[in-house]
Amino acid sequence: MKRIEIIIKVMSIAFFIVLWHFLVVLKVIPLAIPSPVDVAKVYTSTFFVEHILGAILSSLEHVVVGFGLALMVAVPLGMFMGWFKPIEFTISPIVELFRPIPPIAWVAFALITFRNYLHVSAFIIFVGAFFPILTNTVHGFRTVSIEYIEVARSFGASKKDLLTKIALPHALPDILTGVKVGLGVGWMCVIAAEMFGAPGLGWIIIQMEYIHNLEAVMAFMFVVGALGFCMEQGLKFLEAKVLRWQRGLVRG
Amino acid sequence: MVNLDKILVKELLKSFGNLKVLDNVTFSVKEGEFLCIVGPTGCGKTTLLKILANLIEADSGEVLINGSPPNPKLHKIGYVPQSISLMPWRNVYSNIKLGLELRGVKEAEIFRRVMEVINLVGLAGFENYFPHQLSLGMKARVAIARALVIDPDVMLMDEPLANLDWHSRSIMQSELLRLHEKAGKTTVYVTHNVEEALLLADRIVVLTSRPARVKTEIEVHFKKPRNRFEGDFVLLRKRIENLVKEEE
Repeated sequence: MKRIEIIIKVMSIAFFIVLWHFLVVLKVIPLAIPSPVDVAKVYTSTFFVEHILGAILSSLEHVVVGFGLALMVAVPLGMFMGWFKPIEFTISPIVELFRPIPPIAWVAFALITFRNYLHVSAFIIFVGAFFPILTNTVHGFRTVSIEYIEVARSFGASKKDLLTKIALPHALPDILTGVKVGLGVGWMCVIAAEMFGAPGLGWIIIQMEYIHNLEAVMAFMFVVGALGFCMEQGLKFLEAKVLRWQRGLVRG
Repeated sequence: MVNLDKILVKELLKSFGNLKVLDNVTFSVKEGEFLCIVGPTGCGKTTLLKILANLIEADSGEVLINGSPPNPKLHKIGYVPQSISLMPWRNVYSNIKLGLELRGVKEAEIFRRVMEVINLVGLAGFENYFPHQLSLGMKARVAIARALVIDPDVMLMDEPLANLDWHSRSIMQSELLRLHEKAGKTTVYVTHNVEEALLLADRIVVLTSRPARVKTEIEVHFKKPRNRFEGDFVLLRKRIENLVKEEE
Protein backbone atom coordinates (compact mmCIF):
# COMPACT_ATOMS: atom_id res chain seq x y z
CA MET A 1 0.00 0.00 0.00
CA LYS A 2 1.25 3.47 -0.80
CA ARG A 3 2.11 5.81 2.08
CA ILE A 4 -0.44 8.37 1.00
CA GLU A 5 -3.15 5.69 1.07
CA ILE A 6 -2.28 4.79 4.66
CA ILE A 7 -2.32 8.43 5.70
CA ILE A 8 -5.74 8.96 4.11
CA LYS A 9 -7.13 5.84 5.77
CA VAL A 10 -5.88 6.86 9.22
CA MET A 11 -7.20 10.40 8.73
CA SER A 12 -10.55 9.02 7.67
CA ILE A 13 -10.89 7.04 10.91
CA ALA A 14 -9.69 10.02 12.97
CA PHE A 15 -12.27 12.21 11.26
CA PHE A 16 -15.01 9.72 12.04
CA ILE A 17 -14.05 9.60 15.75
CA VAL A 18 -13.97 13.40 16.02
CA LEU A 19 -17.34 13.65 14.26
CA TRP A 20 -18.82 11.02 16.55
CA HIS A 21 -17.45 12.85 19.59
CA PHE A 22 -19.02 16.16 18.66
CA LEU A 23 -22.32 14.62 17.62
CA VAL A 24 -22.59 13.14 21.11
CA VAL A 25 -21.17 16.06 23.12
CA LEU A 26 -23.28 18.67 21.28
CA LYS A 27 -26.31 16.34 21.61
CA VAL A 28 -27.03 16.48 17.88
CA ILE A 29 -28.36 12.91 17.97
CA PRO A 30 -31.17 12.46 20.48
CA LEU A 31 -29.87 9.11 21.76
CA ALA A 32 -27.87 8.26 24.87
CA ILE A 33 -24.83 7.07 22.96
CA PRO A 34 -21.46 7.20 24.74
CA SER A 35 -18.77 9.40 23.28
CA PRO A 36 -15.50 7.88 22.01
CA VAL A 37 -13.85 9.16 25.17
CA ASP A 38 -16.27 7.13 27.29
CA VAL A 39 -15.58 4.04 25.20
CA ALA A 40 -11.83 4.59 25.38
CA LYS A 41 -12.04 4.76 29.18
CA VAL A 42 -13.40 1.19 29.19
CA TYR A 43 -10.15 -0.01 27.61
CA THR A 44 -8.21 1.23 30.65
CA SER A 45 -10.60 -0.26 33.22
CA THR A 46 -9.44 -3.24 35.30
CA PHE A 47 -12.53 -5.20 34.23
CA PHE A 48 -11.53 -4.94 30.60
CA VAL A 49 -7.88 -5.70 31.22
CA GLU A 50 -8.75 -8.75 33.31
CA HIS A 51 -11.29 -10.25 30.90
CA ILE A 52 -10.28 -9.33 27.39
CA LEU A 53 -7.55 -11.90 26.80
CA GLY A 54 -9.63 -14.79 28.06
CA ALA A 55 -12.63 -13.72 25.99
CA ILE A 56 -10.58 -13.36 22.82
CA LEU A 57 -8.87 -16.71 23.30
CA SER A 58 -12.19 -18.36 23.99
CA SER A 59 -13.82 -16.89 20.86
CA LEU A 60 -10.80 -17.77 18.76
CA GLU A 61 -10.91 -21.32 20.06
CA HIS A 62 -14.50 -21.60 18.84
CA VAL A 63 -13.44 -20.25 15.45
CA VAL A 64 -10.46 -22.55 15.11
CA VAL A 65 -12.49 -25.66 15.92
CA GLY A 66 -15.68 -24.78 14.01
CA PHE A 67 -14.06 -23.15 11.01
CA GLY A 68 -11.33 -25.79 10.84
CA LEU A 69 -13.94 -28.53 10.72
CA ALA A 70 -15.95 -26.66 8.07
CA LEU A 71 -12.81 -26.35 5.96
CA MET A 72 -11.91 -30.01 6.34
CA VAL A 73 -15.37 -31.20 5.35
CA ALA A 74 -16.52 -28.58 2.81
CA VAL A 75 -13.41 -28.45 0.59
CA PRO A 76 -13.11 -32.21 -0.12
CA LEU A 77 -16.89 -32.58 -0.37
CA GLY A 78 -17.09 -29.59 -2.72
CA MET A 79 -14.28 -31.05 -4.79
CA PHE A 80 -16.05 -34.37 -5.27
CA MET A 81 -19.39 -32.70 -5.91
CA GLY A 82 -17.94 -30.30 -8.46
CA TRP A 83 -15.84 -32.91 -10.22
CA PHE A 84 -18.11 -35.97 -10.25
CA LYS A 85 -21.59 -35.21 -11.59
CA PRO A 86 -23.35 -38.22 -9.96
CA ILE A 87 -22.06 -37.19 -6.54
CA GLU A 88 -23.42 -33.70 -7.07
CA PHE A 89 -26.83 -35.03 -8.13
CA THR A 90 -26.93 -37.15 -5.00
CA ILE A 91 -25.66 -34.68 -2.42
CA SER A 92 -27.01 -31.34 -3.63
CA PRO A 93 -30.67 -31.97 -2.69
CA ILE A 94 -29.57 -32.52 0.91
CA VAL A 95 -27.37 -29.43 0.78
CA GLU A 96 -30.22 -27.35 -0.63
CA LEU A 97 -32.48 -28.62 2.14
CA PHE A 98 -30.23 -27.25 4.88
CA ARG A 99 -28.56 -24.28 3.21
CA PRO A 100 -31.49 -21.82 3.49
CA ILE A 101 -31.66 -22.32 7.29
CA PRO A 102 -29.83 -19.32 8.82
CA PRO A 103 -26.98 -20.48 11.09
CA ILE A 104 -28.48 -18.56 14.02
CA ALA A 105 -31.58 -20.73 13.75
CA TRP A 106 -29.35 -23.65 14.69
CA VAL A 107 -28.52 -22.12 18.08
CA ALA A 108 -31.56 -23.62 19.81
CA PHE A 109 -30.80 -26.98 18.25
CA ALA A 110 -27.19 -26.80 19.38
CA LEU A 111 -27.98 -25.67 22.93
CA ILE A 112 -30.20 -28.70 23.44
CA THR A 113 -27.99 -31.16 21.60
CA PHE A 114 -24.56 -30.27 22.98
CA ARG A 115 -23.79 -30.00 26.66
CA ASN A 116 -20.49 -28.22 26.18
CA TYR A 117 -20.49 -24.53 25.22
CA LEU A 118 -17.39 -24.95 23.10
CA HIS A 119 -19.30 -27.48 21.04
CA VAL A 120 -22.30 -25.17 20.70
CA SER A 121 -20.26 -22.24 19.42
CA ALA A 122 -18.03 -24.39 17.25
CA PHE A 123 -21.09 -26.00 15.72
CA ILE A 124 -22.68 -22.65 14.89
CA ILE A 125 -19.54 -21.31 13.22
CA PHE A 126 -19.28 -24.64 11.40
CA VAL A 127 -22.79 -24.19 9.98
CA GLY A 128 -22.06 -20.57 9.08
CA ALA A 129 -18.79 -21.28 7.30
CA PHE A 130 -19.67 -24.62 5.74
CA PHE A 131 -22.08 -23.56 3.00
CA PRO A 132 -20.15 -20.63 1.51
CA ILE A 133 -17.01 -22.79 1.33
CA LEU A 134 -18.92 -25.71 -0.15
CA THR A 135 -20.82 -23.81 -2.84
CA ASN A 136 -17.75 -21.87 -3.95
CA THR A 137 -15.60 -25.00 -4.06
CA VAL A 138 -18.24 -26.83 -6.12
CA HIS A 139 -18.37 -23.90 -8.50
CA GLY A 140 -14.58 -23.86 -8.84
CA PHE A 141 -14.40 -27.52 -9.80
CA ARG A 142 -17.47 -27.44 -12.02
CA THR A 143 -16.21 -24.60 -14.19
CA VAL A 144 -12.90 -26.15 -15.26
CA SER A 145 -12.56 -25.53 -18.99
CA ILE A 146 -12.78 -28.62 -21.16
CA GLU A 147 -9.94 -27.15 -23.22
CA TYR A 148 -7.50 -27.43 -20.30
CA ILE A 149 -8.62 -30.98 -19.70
CA GLU A 150 -8.12 -31.84 -23.37
CA VAL A 151 -4.63 -30.39 -23.46
CA ALA A 152 -3.68 -32.43 -20.39
CA ARG A 153 -5.32 -35.56 -21.79
CA SER A 154 -3.47 -35.19 -25.08
CA PHE A 155 -0.30 -35.52 -22.99
CA GLY A 156 -1.65 -38.71 -21.44
CA ALA A 157 -2.72 -37.21 -18.09
CA SER A 158 -4.27 -39.68 -15.64
CA LYS A 159 -7.60 -38.97 -13.88
CA LYS A 160 -5.66 -38.05 -10.75
CA ASP A 161 -3.45 -35.64 -12.73
CA LEU A 162 -6.54 -33.92 -14.12
CA LEU A 163 -7.88 -33.40 -10.63
CA THR A 164 -4.67 -32.26 -8.94
CA LYS A 165 -2.84 -30.45 -11.73
CA ILE A 166 -5.73 -28.88 -13.65
CA ALA A 167 -8.94 -28.79 -11.61
CA LEU A 168 -7.47 -27.93 -8.21
CA PRO A 169 -5.39 -24.92 -9.33
CA HIS A 170 -8.34 -23.77 -11.40
CA ALA A 171 -10.67 -24.02 -8.41
CA LEU A 172 -8.30 -22.39 -5.94
CA PRO A 173 -9.51 -18.77 -6.40
CA ASP A 174 -13.09 -19.92 -5.83
CA ILE A 175 -12.11 -21.98 -2.79
CA LEU A 176 -10.39 -18.94 -1.30
CA THR A 177 -13.44 -16.79 -1.99
CA GLY A 178 -15.52 -19.36 -0.11
CA VAL A 179 -13.04 -19.35 2.76
CA LYS A 180 -13.19 -15.56 3.01
CA VAL A 181 -16.98 -15.43 2.93
CA GLY A 182 -17.21 -18.43 5.25
CA LEU A 183 -14.90 -16.90 7.83
CA GLY A 184 -16.87 -13.65 7.75
CA VAL A 185 -20.21 -15.40 8.20
CA GLY A 186 -18.71 -17.71 10.81
CA TRP A 187 -17.34 -14.83 12.84
CA MET A 188 -20.78 -13.21 12.91
CA CYS A 189 -22.30 -16.50 13.97
CA VAL A 190 -19.83 -17.24 16.74
CA ILE A 191 -20.47 -13.89 18.43
CA ALA A 192 -24.21 -14.50 18.19
CA ALA A 193 -23.85 -18.05 19.53
CA GLU A 194 -21.82 -16.85 22.50
CA MET A 195 -24.62 -14.49 23.45
CA PHE A 196 -26.53 -17.59 24.48
CA GLY A 197 -24.00 -18.48 27.11
CA ALA A 198 -20.72 -19.75 25.67
CA PRO A 199 -17.80 -17.83 27.20
CA GLY A 200 -16.26 -15.41 24.72
CA LEU A 201 -16.65 -11.90 23.35
CA GLY A 202 -20.32 -12.37 22.52
CA TRP A 203 -21.03 -13.52 26.05
CA ILE A 204 -19.32 -10.48 27.60
CA ILE A 205 -21.23 -8.16 25.28
CA ILE A 206 -24.55 -9.59 26.38
CA GLN A 207 -23.49 -9.44 30.06
CA MET A 208 -22.72 -5.74 29.63
CA GLU A 209 -26.14 -5.31 28.08
CA TYR A 210 -27.76 -6.83 31.21
CA ILE A 211 -26.14 -4.15 33.38
CA HIS A 212 -26.88 -1.43 30.82
CA ASN A 213 -23.22 -0.58 30.34
CA LEU A 214 -23.33 0.72 26.79
CA GLU A 215 -19.71 1.99 26.86
CA ALA A 216 -18.51 -1.54 27.57
CA VAL A 217 -20.85 -3.05 24.95
CA MET A 218 -19.35 -0.77 22.34
CA ALA A 219 -15.80 -1.27 23.55
CA PHE A 220 -16.11 -5.04 23.12
CA MET A 221 -17.93 -4.60 19.81
CA PHE A 222 -14.89 -2.76 18.46
CA VAL A 223 -12.68 -5.63 19.63
CA VAL A 224 -14.91 -8.03 17.69
CA GLY A 225 -14.62 -5.76 14.64
CA ALA A 226 -10.85 -5.44 14.97
CA LEU A 227 -10.38 -9.21 15.20
CA GLY A 228 -12.62 -9.79 12.19
CA PHE A 229 -10.62 -7.20 10.29
CA CYS A 230 -7.33 -8.91 11.21
CA MET A 231 -8.61 -12.31 10.06
CA GLU A 232 -9.73 -10.88 6.75
CA GLN A 233 -6.38 -9.14 6.23
CA GLY A 234 -4.63 -12.41 7.00
CA LEU A 235 -6.68 -14.18 4.36
CA LYS A 236 -6.09 -11.43 1.84
CA PHE A 237 -2.37 -11.74 2.43
CA LEU A 238 -2.60 -15.50 1.93
CA GLU A 239 -4.69 -15.01 -1.21
CA ALA A 240 -2.17 -12.60 -2.70
CA LYS A 241 0.57 -15.18 -2.12
CA VAL A 242 -1.36 -18.15 -3.50
CA LEU A 243 -2.92 -16.31 -6.43
CA ARG A 244 0.21 -14.45 -7.42
CA TRP A 245 -0.59 -15.22 -11.06
CA GLN A 246 -3.70 -13.04 -10.92
CA ARG A 247 -1.67 -9.90 -10.36
CA GLY A 248 -2.44 -7.50 -13.19
CA LEU A 249 -5.32 -9.68 -14.35
CA VAL A 250 -7.82 -8.36 -11.84
CA ARG A 251 -8.06 -4.84 -10.46
CA GLY A 252 -7.19 -6.09 -6.98
CA MET B 1 11.34 -46.10 -44.96
CA VAL B 2 10.78 -43.03 -47.09
CA ASN B 3 7.22 -43.87 -48.04
CA LEU B 4 6.13 -45.21 -44.68
CA ASP B 5 2.92 -43.60 -43.48
CA LYS B 6 3.38 -41.87 -40.15
CA ILE B 7 -0.35 -41.41 -39.78
CA LEU B 8 -2.97 -43.47 -41.50
CA VAL B 9 -6.63 -42.49 -41.28
CA LYS B 10 -9.00 -45.08 -42.67
CA GLU B 11 -12.74 -44.84 -43.26
CA LEU B 12 -13.50 -42.75 -40.18
CA LEU B 13 -17.15 -42.32 -39.24
CA LYS B 14 -18.36 -40.08 -36.46
CA SER B 15 -21.78 -38.81 -35.43
CA PHE B 16 -22.94 -36.76 -32.49
CA GLY B 17 -26.44 -38.06 -31.94
CA ASN B 18 -28.22 -37.62 -35.28
CA LEU B 19 -25.61 -35.22 -36.56
CA LYS B 20 -23.25 -37.00 -38.90
CA VAL B 21 -19.88 -35.24 -38.73
CA LEU B 22 -17.35 -37.48 -40.46
CA ASP B 23 -18.32 -39.74 -43.33
CA ASN B 24 -15.69 -42.18 -44.44
CA VAL B 25 -12.64 -39.96 -44.08
CA THR B 26 -9.47 -41.54 -45.39
CA PHE B 27 -6.01 -40.06 -45.85
CA SER B 28 -2.44 -40.60 -44.79
CA VAL B 29 0.48 -38.45 -43.69
CA LYS B 30 4.09 -39.27 -44.48
CA GLU B 31 6.99 -38.99 -42.05
CA GLY B 32 8.05 -35.36 -41.74
CA GLU B 33 5.23 -34.14 -43.94
CA PHE B 34 3.28 -30.96 -43.25
CA LEU B 35 -0.32 -31.75 -44.11
CA CYS B 36 -3.00 -29.09 -44.08
CA ILE B 37 -6.67 -29.91 -43.81
CA VAL B 38 -8.95 -27.25 -45.21
CA GLY B 39 -12.70 -27.19 -45.50
CA PRO B 40 -15.71 -24.98 -44.85
CA THR B 41 -16.34 -23.77 -41.33
CA GLY B 42 -18.09 -26.31 -39.15
CA CYS B 43 -17.36 -29.24 -41.44
CA GLY B 44 -15.83 -31.42 -38.75
CA LYS B 45 -12.13 -30.52 -39.00
CA THR B 46 -11.75 -30.08 -35.25
CA THR B 47 -13.55 -33.35 -34.57
CA LEU B 48 -11.20 -35.10 -36.95
CA LEU B 49 -8.16 -33.66 -35.20
CA LYS B 50 -9.49 -34.61 -31.78
CA ILE B 51 -9.92 -38.17 -32.94
CA LEU B 52 -6.28 -38.16 -34.08
CA ALA B 53 -5.29 -36.77 -30.67
CA ASN B 54 -7.22 -39.61 -29.00
CA LEU B 55 -9.49 -37.11 -27.25
CA ILE B 56 -12.68 -38.47 -28.73
CA GLU B 57 -13.43 -41.84 -30.23
CA ALA B 58 -14.60 -42.47 -33.77
CA ASP B 59 -17.73 -44.57 -34.26
CA SER B 60 -15.85 -46.73 -36.71
CA GLY B 61 -12.78 -46.69 -38.87
CA GLU B 62 -9.17 -46.66 -37.92
CA VAL B 63 -6.37 -44.29 -36.98
CA LEU B 64 -2.85 -45.62 -36.99
CA ILE B 65 0.18 -43.69 -35.81
CA ASN B 66 3.44 -45.51 -36.52
CA GLY B 67 1.25 -48.49 -37.32
CA SER B 68 -0.73 -48.65 -34.07
CA PRO B 69 -3.86 -46.92 -32.69
CA PRO B 70 -3.21 -43.65 -30.83
CA ASN B 71 -2.09 -44.43 -27.30
CA PRO B 72 -0.50 -42.01 -24.84
CA LYS B 73 1.88 -44.74 -23.70
CA LEU B 74 3.17 -45.42 -27.21
CA HIS B 75 2.89 -42.04 -28.88
CA LYS B 76 3.69 -38.52 -27.99
CA ILE B 77 1.11 -36.16 -29.41
CA GLY B 78 1.86 -32.47 -29.71
CA TYR B 79 -1.64 -31.03 -29.63
CA VAL B 80 -2.25 -27.32 -30.14
CA PRO B 81 -5.94 -26.53 -29.61
CA GLN B 82 -7.85 -23.83 -31.45
CA SER B 83 -8.24 -21.72 -28.33
CA ILE B 84 -4.53 -22.05 -27.40
CA SER B 85 -5.69 -22.81 -23.84
CA LEU B 86 -2.73 -21.78 -21.74
CA MET B 87 -3.33 -22.31 -18.06
CA PRO B 88 -3.60 -18.84 -16.51
CA TRP B 89 -2.14 -19.96 -13.17
CA ARG B 90 1.04 -21.24 -14.81
CA ASN B 91 3.74 -18.95 -16.12
CA VAL B 92 5.30 -19.48 -19.54
CA TYR B 93 7.89 -21.92 -18.20
CA SER B 94 5.34 -24.02 -16.27
CA ASN B 95 2.86 -24.00 -19.13
CA ILE B 96 5.49 -25.35 -21.49
CA LYS B 97 6.65 -28.03 -19.09
CA LEU B 98 3.15 -29.48 -18.54
CA GLY B 99 3.56 -32.43 -20.89
CA LEU B 100 6.94 -33.39 -19.43
CA GLU B 101 5.63 -33.01 -15.88
CA LEU B 102 2.69 -35.30 -16.65
CA ARG B 103 5.09 -37.87 -18.06
CA GLY B 104 7.12 -37.81 -14.87
CA VAL B 105 10.31 -36.44 -16.42
CA LYS B 106 12.90 -35.35 -13.85
CA GLU B 107 13.07 -31.65 -12.98
CA ALA B 108 16.64 -31.16 -14.25
CA GLU B 109 15.79 -32.76 -17.58
CA ILE B 110 12.58 -30.70 -17.76
CA PHE B 111 14.58 -27.51 -17.21
CA ARG B 112 17.05 -28.36 -19.96
CA ARG B 113 14.39 -29.24 -22.50
CA VAL B 114 12.04 -26.36 -21.69
CA MET B 115 14.84 -23.82 -21.95
CA GLU B 116 15.92 -25.33 -25.25
CA VAL B 117 12.44 -25.06 -26.72
CA ILE B 118 11.95 -21.56 -25.26
CA ASN B 119 14.98 -20.45 -27.23
CA LEU B 120 13.79 -22.33 -30.30
CA VAL B 121 10.41 -20.58 -30.44
CA GLY B 122 11.77 -17.16 -29.51
CA LEU B 123 10.40 -16.82 -25.99
CA ALA B 124 13.71 -16.28 -24.18
CA GLY B 125 13.28 -13.78 -21.35
CA PHE B 126 9.54 -14.47 -21.01
CA GLU B 127 9.85 -17.58 -18.80
CA ASN B 128 8.24 -15.93 -15.78
CA TYR B 129 5.46 -14.13 -17.59
CA PHE B 130 1.90 -15.23 -17.04
CA PRO B 131 -0.37 -15.78 -20.08
CA HIS B 132 -2.41 -12.62 -19.50
CA GLN B 133 0.78 -10.58 -19.84
CA LEU B 134 1.45 -11.91 -23.36
CA SER B 135 0.23 -10.89 -26.81
CA LEU B 136 -1.80 -13.36 -28.84
CA GLY B 137 1.23 -14.13 -31.00
CA MET B 138 3.32 -14.87 -27.90
CA LYS B 139 0.58 -17.09 -26.54
CA ALA B 140 0.55 -19.05 -29.78
CA ARG B 141 4.32 -19.51 -29.43
CA VAL B 142 3.86 -20.86 -25.91
CA ALA B 143 1.21 -23.32 -27.07
CA ILE B 144 3.47 -24.51 -29.89
CA ALA B 145 6.42 -24.79 -27.47
CA ARG B 146 4.27 -26.77 -25.04
CA ALA B 147 3.59 -29.27 -27.85
CA LEU B 148 7.16 -29.34 -29.19
CA VAL B 149 8.89 -29.83 -25.85
CA ILE B 150 7.71 -33.43 -25.47
CA ASP B 151 9.48 -34.25 -28.76
CA PRO B 152 6.18 -35.42 -30.28
CA ASP B 153 5.77 -38.15 -32.86
CA VAL B 154 3.19 -35.94 -34.55
CA MET B 155 2.09 -32.33 -34.20
CA LEU B 156 -1.66 -31.74 -34.41
CA MET B 157 -2.57 -28.09 -34.74
CA ASP B 158 -6.09 -26.71 -34.82
CA GLU B 159 -6.02 -23.23 -36.37
CA PRO B 160 -3.54 -21.96 -33.80
CA LEU B 161 -3.30 -18.59 -35.57
CA ALA B 162 -7.04 -18.06 -36.05
CA ASN B 163 -7.29 -15.16 -33.59
CA LEU B 164 -4.22 -13.27 -34.72
CA ASP B 165 -4.24 -10.05 -36.71
CA TRP B 166 -2.81 -10.18 -40.22
CA HIS B 167 0.63 -8.91 -39.22
CA SER B 168 1.30 -11.28 -36.32
CA ARG B 169 -0.28 -14.02 -38.31
CA SER B 170 2.19 -13.69 -41.18
CA ILE B 171 5.08 -13.55 -38.71
CA MET B 172 3.85 -16.73 -37.06
CA GLN B 173 3.40 -18.42 -40.44
CA SER B 174 7.10 -17.90 -41.15
CA GLU B 175 7.86 -19.11 -37.63
CA LEU B 176 5.88 -22.30 -38.24
CA LEU B 177 7.83 -22.88 -41.47
CA ARG B 178 11.12 -22.33 -39.67
CA LEU B 179 10.14 -24.66 -36.82
CA HIS B 180 8.97 -27.36 -39.20
CA GLU B 181 12.21 -27.16 -41.15
CA LYS B 182 14.24 -27.31 -37.94
CA ALA B 183 12.31 -29.89 -35.93
CA GLY B 184 10.98 -31.83 -38.95
CA LYS B 185 7.86 -32.95 -37.12
CA THR B 186 5.10 -34.73 -38.99
CA THR B 187 2.30 -32.21 -38.79
CA VAL B 188 -1.43 -32.15 -39.36
CA TYR B 189 -2.61 -28.56 -39.47
CA VAL B 190 -6.27 -27.64 -39.63
CA THR B 191 -7.28 -24.28 -41.06
CA HIS B 192 -9.98 -22.70 -43.16
CA ASN B 193 -7.52 -20.15 -44.48
CA VAL B 194 -6.44 -21.47 -47.88
CA GLU B 195 -3.58 -19.00 -48.24
CA GLU B 196 -2.14 -20.13 -44.92
CA ALA B 197 -2.46 -23.77 -45.97
CA LEU B 198 -0.62 -23.02 -49.22
CA LEU B 199 2.18 -21.23 -47.40
CA LEU B 200 2.78 -24.11 -45.03
CA ALA B 201 1.68 -27.37 -46.55
CA ASP B 202 3.45 -30.08 -48.47
CA ARG B 203 0.02 -31.45 -49.23
CA ILE B 204 -3.52 -30.18 -48.72
CA VAL B 205 -6.57 -32.30 -47.99
CA VAL B 206 -9.81 -30.54 -48.90
CA LEU B 207 -12.87 -31.68 -46.98
CA THR B 208 -16.49 -31.39 -48.06
CA SER B 209 -19.10 -29.65 -45.92
CA ARG B 210 -20.63 -31.68 -43.12
CA PRO B 211 -20.57 -34.64 -43.02
CA ALA B 212 -16.93 -34.31 -44.03
CA ARG B 213 -15.48 -36.50 -46.70
CA VAL B 214 -12.17 -36.03 -48.48
CA LYS B 215 -13.08 -33.96 -51.53
CA THR B 216 -9.63 -33.92 -53.00
CA GLU B 217 -5.94 -33.97 -52.14
CA ILE B 218 -3.49 -31.51 -53.62
CA GLU B 219 0.30 -31.80 -53.54
CA VAL B 220 1.93 -28.40 -53.21
CA HIS B 221 5.28 -28.45 -54.97
CA PHE B 222 6.28 -24.77 -54.66
CA LYS B 223 9.61 -24.32 -52.94
CA LYS B 224 9.42 -22.97 -49.37
CA PRO B 225 9.37 -20.21 -48.27
CA ARG B 226 6.64 -19.30 -50.73
CA ASN B 227 5.62 -15.95 -52.08
CA ARG B 228 1.91 -15.42 -51.54
CA PHE B 229 1.73 -12.84 -54.36
CA GLU B 230 3.42 -14.98 -57.02
CA GLY B 231 1.23 -15.95 -60.03
CA ASP B 232 1.09 -19.76 -59.71
CA PHE B 233 0.54 -19.47 -55.98
CA VAL B 234 -2.40 -17.15 -56.50
CA LEU B 235 -3.89 -19.38 -59.21
CA LEU B 236 -3.70 -22.46 -57.01
CA ARG B 237 -5.12 -20.50 -54.08
CA LYS B 238 -8.10 -19.44 -56.19
CA ARG B 239 -8.62 -22.99 -57.39
CA ILE B 240 -8.71 -24.37 -53.85
CA GLU B 241 -10.82 -21.50 -52.58
CA ASN B 242 -13.36 -22.33 -55.27
CA LEU B 243 -13.35 -25.97 -54.21
CA VAL B 244 -14.09 -24.89 -50.63
CA LYS B 245 -16.67 -22.36 -51.80
CA GLU B 246 -18.57 -25.07 -53.70
CA GLU B 247 -19.13 -26.66 -50.32
CA GLU B 248 -20.44 -23.60 -48.53
